[in-house]
Amino acid sequence: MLKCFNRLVQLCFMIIIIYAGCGKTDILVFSAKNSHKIEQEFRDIPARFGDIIPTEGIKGLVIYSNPSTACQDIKTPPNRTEYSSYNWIVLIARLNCSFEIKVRNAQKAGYNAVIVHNVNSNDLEPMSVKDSTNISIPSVFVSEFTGSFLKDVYSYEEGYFVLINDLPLNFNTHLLLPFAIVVGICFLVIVIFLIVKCIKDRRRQQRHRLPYSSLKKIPTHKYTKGDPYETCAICLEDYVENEKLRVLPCAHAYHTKCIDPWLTKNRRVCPVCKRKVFAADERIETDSESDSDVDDSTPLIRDGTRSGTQGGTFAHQPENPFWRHLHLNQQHHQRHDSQSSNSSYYSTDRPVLNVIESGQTETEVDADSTNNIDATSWTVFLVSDSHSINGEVPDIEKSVSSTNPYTVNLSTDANEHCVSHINHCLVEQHARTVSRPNVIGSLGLSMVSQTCEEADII
Amino acid sequence: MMQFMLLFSRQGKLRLQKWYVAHPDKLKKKITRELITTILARKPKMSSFLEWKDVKVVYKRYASLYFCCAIEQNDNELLTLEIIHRYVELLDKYFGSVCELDIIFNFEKAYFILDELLVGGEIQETSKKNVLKAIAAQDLLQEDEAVEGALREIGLL
Repeated sequence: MLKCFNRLVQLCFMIIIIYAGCGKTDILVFSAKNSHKIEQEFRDIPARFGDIIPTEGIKGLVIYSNPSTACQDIKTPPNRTEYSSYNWIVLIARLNCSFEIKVRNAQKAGYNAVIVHNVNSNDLEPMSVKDSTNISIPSVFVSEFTGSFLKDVYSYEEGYFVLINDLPLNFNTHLLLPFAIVVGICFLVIVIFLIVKCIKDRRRQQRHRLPYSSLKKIPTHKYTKGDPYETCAICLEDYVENEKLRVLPCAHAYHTKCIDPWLTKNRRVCPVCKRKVFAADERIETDSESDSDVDDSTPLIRDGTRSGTQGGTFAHQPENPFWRHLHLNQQHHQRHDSQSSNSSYYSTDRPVLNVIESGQTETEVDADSTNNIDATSWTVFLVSDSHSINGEVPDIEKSVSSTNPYTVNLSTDANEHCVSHINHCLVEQHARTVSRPNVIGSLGLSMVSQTCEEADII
Repeated sequence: MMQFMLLFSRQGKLRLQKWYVAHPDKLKKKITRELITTILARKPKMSSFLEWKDVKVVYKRYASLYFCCAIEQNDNELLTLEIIHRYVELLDKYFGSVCELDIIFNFEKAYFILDELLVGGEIQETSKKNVLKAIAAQDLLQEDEAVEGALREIGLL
């Protein structure tokens, strides 16, 4: 903004300088017939004594003094009514006596201004006098060339008048107006440009930020001992038990109070891996938005079914990033430590309902509608992924009977507790073999069986 | 019946074309050029269907690639959109997370898959599994031939 303003000022100065360079004259000659057109321009130098020339200049008729040097009394200006609106300016030759005498004589004769022209030289020099008291009319000094012009060509008898102007720049109204318009238009254009740019910038920034509504959809997690992350990469402090962490889709975790301002006020990227952070339902919006970052190596289909390839939405996230990390860690350990027993610390540590990952049919169960389950025994109904991010381990009594390995018994309150965590359910294979999935007997879970039926069709 | 199918990039480069009606080359080029300009000028929120000359055009953008089909007046646009998506899914399954580069470098495979899916502008095989099976068999055959050819070249066969 400031830079642009500076540029504007520079531009203005440049225009002024160019304008001044071509119009550096102080005596302007006009024709009486066409008083807006400058006939001729001459340079002069104002005297160091006498009145200063008023800012609007002295408009007057030029008359050559008689005698030319004006060392004696000179002829008074002609007293005619048609010239009454003009001043009288007398043109006097240099030499023979001092400037003081010439000007005093002109003042005495009733002239309003004096032009003294050089003789035998075209040099300009400022006139000065020893005693300037009582000299009230302004006077200027011009070259011999100018003097002869004013005398022979532009005298008042020929219908010309002159304007003695002391301004270094002569702002004629008929030039000033277009100039002002041009400058004004330039200024206006720049201002409009700046405003548009500002708005665009702001919009872009806003688009890069994460809205609060989406922030709420990104899961938080209470830190417990044994979690894969120990230090917040932003504040560089170790996590303390029960601190609230936010887990981004890329499985990086930060303090909620550290990462939230970053996401909402800066950019919606993970500070560590720079991956974009999307909440569950934002996929469509980003597709239209990400025009710029689509290139020929962008996958045509971007859904979360291929886990890990994308920044990922939570809608499709098959697994809590924490557990995925643990899982990967464990695999890593197993690879390196061949002697490690096959009892997996993954399954024992995992505070979720036990999982049968047959993966054949996967349906979603709305947590609210399953809350009213009051039976305690489930058949054939298992959970693939409960988002137990909060780390509260449901109190589950798991009794695996020998006949049906997929039966899980839950105590009643644990049941409710768990069910509220359920996001996905798997219908076990043998439910599919029965014509109607015999799900959960008397649970009043018609909704679940319905979804299972649908799943079956799929 | 589908009249033709075009795949082109966001920059307007034609990646794949399949014509199910006979046109002289000059006309094909003209149609392609005009259609690409028309579609690229459209905004993302605009409809995927447009009436263009005497055909209906159904297009959809997948990442950097536009899939565009021209169908006749009595054809179903939604069905065509479904065909396009099925084709993309097939490509995705075959290449594994397909991107524009895959199609550029393996355009013949993309053509083969399209030929399995569509014949004469009508859908031929709706099962993705069958299409992929056919393509896999074809690949196998091709590989065998390549090995055989190589062996023959060095004089072993």
